[in-house]
Amino acid sequence: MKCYLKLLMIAALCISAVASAHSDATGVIKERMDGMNAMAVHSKTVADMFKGKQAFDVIAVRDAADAFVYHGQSMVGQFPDTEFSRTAKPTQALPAIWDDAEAFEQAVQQFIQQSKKLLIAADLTSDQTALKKPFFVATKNCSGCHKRFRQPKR
Amino acid sequence: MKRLWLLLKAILSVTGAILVLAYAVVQHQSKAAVEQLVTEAEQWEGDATKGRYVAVMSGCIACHTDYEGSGLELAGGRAIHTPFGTVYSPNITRDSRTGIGQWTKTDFLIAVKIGMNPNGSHYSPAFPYSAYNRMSTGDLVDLWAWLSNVAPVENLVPDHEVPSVLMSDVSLSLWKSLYFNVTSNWQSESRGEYLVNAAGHCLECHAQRTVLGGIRNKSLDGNSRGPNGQTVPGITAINLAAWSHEDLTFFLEIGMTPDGDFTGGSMTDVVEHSTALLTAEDRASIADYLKSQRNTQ
Ligand code: HEC
Ligand code: HEC
Ligand code: HEC
Repeated sequence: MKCYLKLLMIAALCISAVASAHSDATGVIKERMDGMNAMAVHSKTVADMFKGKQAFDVIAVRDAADAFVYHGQSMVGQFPDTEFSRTAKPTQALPAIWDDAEAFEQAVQQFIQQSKKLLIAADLTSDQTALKKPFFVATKNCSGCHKRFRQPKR
Repeated sequence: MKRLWLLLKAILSVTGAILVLAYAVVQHQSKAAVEQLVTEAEQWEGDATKGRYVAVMSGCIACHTDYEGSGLELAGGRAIHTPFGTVYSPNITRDSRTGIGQWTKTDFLIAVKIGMNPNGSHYSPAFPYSAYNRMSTGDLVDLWAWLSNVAPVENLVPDHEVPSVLMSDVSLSLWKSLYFNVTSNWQSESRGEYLVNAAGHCLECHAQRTVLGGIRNKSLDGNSRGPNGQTVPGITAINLAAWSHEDLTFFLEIGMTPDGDFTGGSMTDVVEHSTALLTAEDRASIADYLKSQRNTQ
């Protein structure tokens, strides 16, 4: 009986490991990955509205912008220059974050600034077409930063 | 021992004969293709406004600009890491010392469609002329009308860091005889196919390559050893089964995957400097074409 329980627990552990891709991340690496993934959920919601998969709702755009600003500001402290932060699995962070610290800092600040602009735009208008541009400008920072500072996925 | 020596001699002479033959054939075919191109080019008046768009959809600006270094548009110097060494994109502004200031329209067309330098030597396939060979001459004449009026920029580009034997005319002829069909009179079945296979040169990164650096089969199956050691995913209908048409056009516009993550690596440049700047109709044609492709494996 005990043996079955153990097996069951192992099976459950395996399943949960598959369910959340990076559940093995810990500490500051988990923190920043969680932040990134939260932003991805918001990006997807807004993108699905632009793609016509969901009805347009300006509140969702505002929420996304809010989350971008919040997680952008959190990034400032989430990339300390320590051995753990640089190399612990499963990080995809590239050494350039620390070797070219000024450029990384600038990328974070630009992302925050442009997300704030999106936030203001979402307060001023609820017109979908008018919000597309500031959303694109803000999210261009996601790919721009990933290109220089994040290892490709596969 | 003597047998071995004979065998070796036989192998060497056969290899030599193949190389000489390959060289002669490529030289001969190129000459015929050049003559055809020259007559064709005369029928077209270039339109510079259209030419700028052609440059965008073909990625010329992205590859001939060193965004991480000088940032000077079209002035070259961008490093391209290949399994054979590093090559640097040349300066293609009209600067007479460091660029292509002396070039004529014909020189330009021969370089882009046939992969040959004005002095008759061959270019490295890092310059994707195998794809551009399929571009319409009209598009390239437009491109020249624009490019030849871009202000010259003085920028001396580093020499390629590839063993010179690989960059020799004989090696490059052999490569061309294996992987490059200079005489192809290629007609696109659709705008999407043209944008993907000719101008957009998507196969350059999204197709499997042989050890000699040739594209193995013309299928967008993906490449486990892509540029800069990066894995490039397959983008056929099966690979993209979970992507809707809108997911794809949206990706080509801002680089976002359907799960809200953002693409990285060299695809960022393709999106930022090329597909994002296309018309919505052109992005839709690319999506349609990709969704119609089958894997070969
Ligand atoms: C200033 C740089 C920067 C910006 C801006 C940025 N990211 Fe990231 N992102 C990173 C880095 C670095 C990593 C890798 C972190 C690690 O693995 O330790 C990453 C990882 C990710 C991941 C993978 C997380 C995981 O679980 O592996 C996702 C998803 C992501 N980012 C989404 C986004 C989205 C969406 C945006 C924009 C709304 C964005 N990122 C903006 C730098 C950035
Ligand atoms: C993937 C990168 C890449 C792309 C995209 C690319 N080129 Fe190039 N190009 C190169 C490289 C590398 C060379 C040098 C090849 C060599 O020296 O053997 C080159 C050479 C050239 C040359 C010859 C320059 C000289 O000084 O001899 C011209 C002209 C040129 N490219 C124009 C273009 C045009 C026009 C386009 C778009 C239709 C384009 N290139 C797209 C990489 C690229
Ligand atoms: C310079 C190399 C290069 C060229 C040229 C290129 N790609 Fe890509 N592409 C990549 C890489 C690398 C990735 C994976 C990026 C990542 O890991 O986030 C990718 C990813 C993609 C994806 C997302 C696939 C997925 O499963 O996430 C699509 C769609 C795509 N490319 C379409 C195209 C099209 C269409 C073209 C031609 C117009 C093209 N690519 C040209 C390198 C390239």
